This record gives sequence, structure tokens and C-alpha cells, in this order.
Amino acid sequence: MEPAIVVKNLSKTFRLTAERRGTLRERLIKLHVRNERKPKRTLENLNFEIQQGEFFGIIGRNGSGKSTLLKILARIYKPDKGSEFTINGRIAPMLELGVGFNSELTGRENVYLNATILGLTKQEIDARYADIVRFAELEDFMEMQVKHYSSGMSVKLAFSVAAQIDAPIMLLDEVLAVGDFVFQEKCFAYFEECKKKGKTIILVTHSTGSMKRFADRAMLIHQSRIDMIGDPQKVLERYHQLG
Amino acid sequence: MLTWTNFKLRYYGSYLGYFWSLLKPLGLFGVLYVVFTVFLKQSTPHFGVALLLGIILWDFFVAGTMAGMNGFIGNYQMIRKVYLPRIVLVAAAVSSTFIGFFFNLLIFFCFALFDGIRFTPKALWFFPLVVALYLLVLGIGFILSIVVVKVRDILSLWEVATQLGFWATPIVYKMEIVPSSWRFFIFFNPMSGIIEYSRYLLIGIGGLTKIGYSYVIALSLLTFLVGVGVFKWKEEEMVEDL
Repeated sequence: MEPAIVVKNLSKTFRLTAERRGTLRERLIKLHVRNERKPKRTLENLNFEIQQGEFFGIIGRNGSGKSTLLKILARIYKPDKGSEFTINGRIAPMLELGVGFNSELTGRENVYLNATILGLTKQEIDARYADIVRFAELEDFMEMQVKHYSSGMSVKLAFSVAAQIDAPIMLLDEVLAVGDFVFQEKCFAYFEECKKKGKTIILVTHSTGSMKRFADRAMLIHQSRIDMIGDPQKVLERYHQLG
Repeated sequence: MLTWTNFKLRYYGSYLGYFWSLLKPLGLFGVLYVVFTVFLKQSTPHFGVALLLGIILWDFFVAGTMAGMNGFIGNYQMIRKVYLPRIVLVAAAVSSTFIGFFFNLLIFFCFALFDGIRFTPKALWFFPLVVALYLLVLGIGFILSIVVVKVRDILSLWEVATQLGFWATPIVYKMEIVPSSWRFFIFFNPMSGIIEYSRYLLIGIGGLTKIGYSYVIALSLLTFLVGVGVFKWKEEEMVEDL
């Protein structure tokens, strides 16, 4: 069976200018001053494979490049030239919940909007709408504007929409800690179900608990490089040593 | 879907909703109409409807390009969190103003019938012009949406440019009164052709040349293609710069 994700020599360099010149006026005034561009390596030469059906945890300090990696996998950023990565199958990025949620719209309208952004067609949403509402436990509030929701309610709704994206590969960025404990358990149950169904899940987290509970394999990114890949227990130990 | 949402959001929060969006072109129309017919004693037949048509077309040009310009930077949260074809966001922003434009056109048709205008079959040639205008606005919107990321003050510059453009386009005047040595420059602006020919086709005033008509269509198409090209070429870089 071919691996779900293959990453070869993946690097990402951001070019940071010494100062941001966001307007024409600034550019004209400072025409004679050179604006130096400093390349900043955020990811250096990553090589790894993720097998199908694997629950793969990624851990690392803030600023180590984890989120950049996820954004590259989600095709939001483009990696440097020479990087290669192949993804076998449709990918559902859940880097942030409730993307495009607008507080002026009702819950129902937001479900449709958010799901459209995540790539579902109208027919697909129609078919899943009842499930989404049931999962979010918000049957009585769907015609209410989201601005009158509590923050917990809107996060639940957002998670429920995201959970309906039926992709074989899922990218999750610290989205576990939402809602009250009942809802959290529901999310965990959902992850376990996904795992049973044989989905590939990539999770970026700081939580050692969920790492221990779910991950089959873990990867530690430290200072833009892969520090270690392997058994979650050992990776976590190494992570704490580095700290 | 995104288009409808944009449209809805724009007019949300006020019961009059859509009617407020009418106020701008109609208000401008009212003022100019009074100034020209009462103060300046303008008495060309169908001056009113011709003016209204010009204002409606121009208003869509301005509103559409402005919306397109904001289509990229205005959605930065979404762009940084999910992958979706970003060009769609800009196109949706432009299209939501197109819906407003469409309703404005319906109002124009009512006014025109009321004013005793009978449409002839050649009025059908107006629709390619609408398509051309839409493509032109999309093209400019794509280019501006990219430029604005690097050069924020293009927002104000474009506002000034469109205000000057209002007078450099035959909206309150007709092409006939422009001295022939100037006409070439005025026609260089594709909006001039679009407005002038629309008037000819729908109201029957002014004139139309085949070369001019083809120029307008071709230039709009070209602008659209260049816009798509520029957008595709630079979008990756701009995502990081948002």
C-alpha cells in the first residue's frame, strides 16, 4: 500500500524585509534607502512518510515551524523550489475552526458558508445538515444569528461542520480543546471512529495527553528541523528534555 | 454561494437593505438631472434616461473594481487558514456588486419604458457589452487585489482615479460634444465605448462604429485575461505577505 503522504527535502524560506513598506508614499520617500531582504529558513530539509491509516502526531516548541508545515501540506503556502511532497487522497485541513463564520448570519447560513469554503457542494451539505446540527447539539439555535451564540456554541458548530468533511486524510491543528468536557469526549470519540475507519490523521498539538492517547507515531520538530520521529512516548520524553 | 453571502452581508443590518444601495446612483442621478435640466437648461430628448444609464454602468464599474480590490485583503483570515481557489473570492466580491447592478438595470428599463422608449432588436447587442463590462471589471479587480497587498494607498488612489474618470467618460455629456481631436483619447477608455454604445443600442442616441465596438469587447477580454494571469502569477507570494 502506498503511503498517504511522502515528503522529500521540504524546505520553506520566508523572505523578510527589514522594514515593511506597505504604501506608495513610503516607497517614494525611501527610494534611496535599500530595503534589505533577509531570508529566514522556517523549515529545513524535512524528509518523512506517513502511512495510510496512521495517526501521526507533530509536536514542537512555538515557532519551530509546525504550523508552517501544516500550511504547506494544506497548500496554503508554497514550499521552496526542490521540495517534493505527494499526498495520496483528498485532504481536509482543519487548521482553524469556523473559517469564514460571520456573526451577522444565522447558524444555518454559517454552516452552509463554512462547508462551502471547506469544499462541499450544496447537495452534500443538504444531505449532512441534520447530522451537523445533531452533532453540535444546537437544534434549537440554528435560526439564531451567531453573534448571539456563546463562544462555546459557535466552536461546537464549527467543529461539527469540519467533522463532516469526509476526507481520507485530515490535518488537525490544536483543535482538540474545544467545548465542555462532554463535547470534548464526543470529539475524541469521533477521532477514534476516524481511526477505526482507517483515516490518516495528522495532529499538531502541545497536549501530551492527546498525543499519548491517540498517536501511533510522533515527530518532534525543533529549530526548523526534524529532531526525532518514532514512538510517541520517547518523542515526548525528548521534547521535555529539550524544553 | 459566496456571492450571495457577500451580497447579503453588504445590505444586512438595515431593513431598507438593498434600497440604500440604490440611493447612491439614484441620488447622483437626481442631483445631476436637476443641475443640467433646470439650471443649465439642457433639453436633449431622453437626457434623463441616457444619464441614468450612464450612471448605472459607471456605478457598477466603480463598485465592482472596489469590491474586487478588497476581495483578497478583506478575506485574509480565510485565505490564511484554508486552501481555496483565491481567485474565486475576488470574483465573488465583484459578482455581488453585479447583482446590484442587475437590479439597477431593471429600474432603468422601467424608466425607459415610462419615458416612451421602444426597444428595437438591435438592443440585443447591448448584452455582449454587459458581459464585456463584467469581464473588464473582473480583470481590473484581479490586478488591483494583488497590487493593494503591496501598495495599500492604491485604495485612495483608485478612488481619486474613478472620480476623475467619471468626467473623462461620456456620462453627463455625449460623445458628440467632445471636440474631435479629443475623442480619440476619450474612446481610449473602454468605459466610454461601453456607455456610448449602450445608449445607442438601447435609447437610440449617439452612434456606434464596428471598430469601436470590437475594440471595447477585445480590450475587456484582454484585461480579463491579463488580470487572471497577473493574479495566478503573484497570488502565492501575496498570501505570505497578507
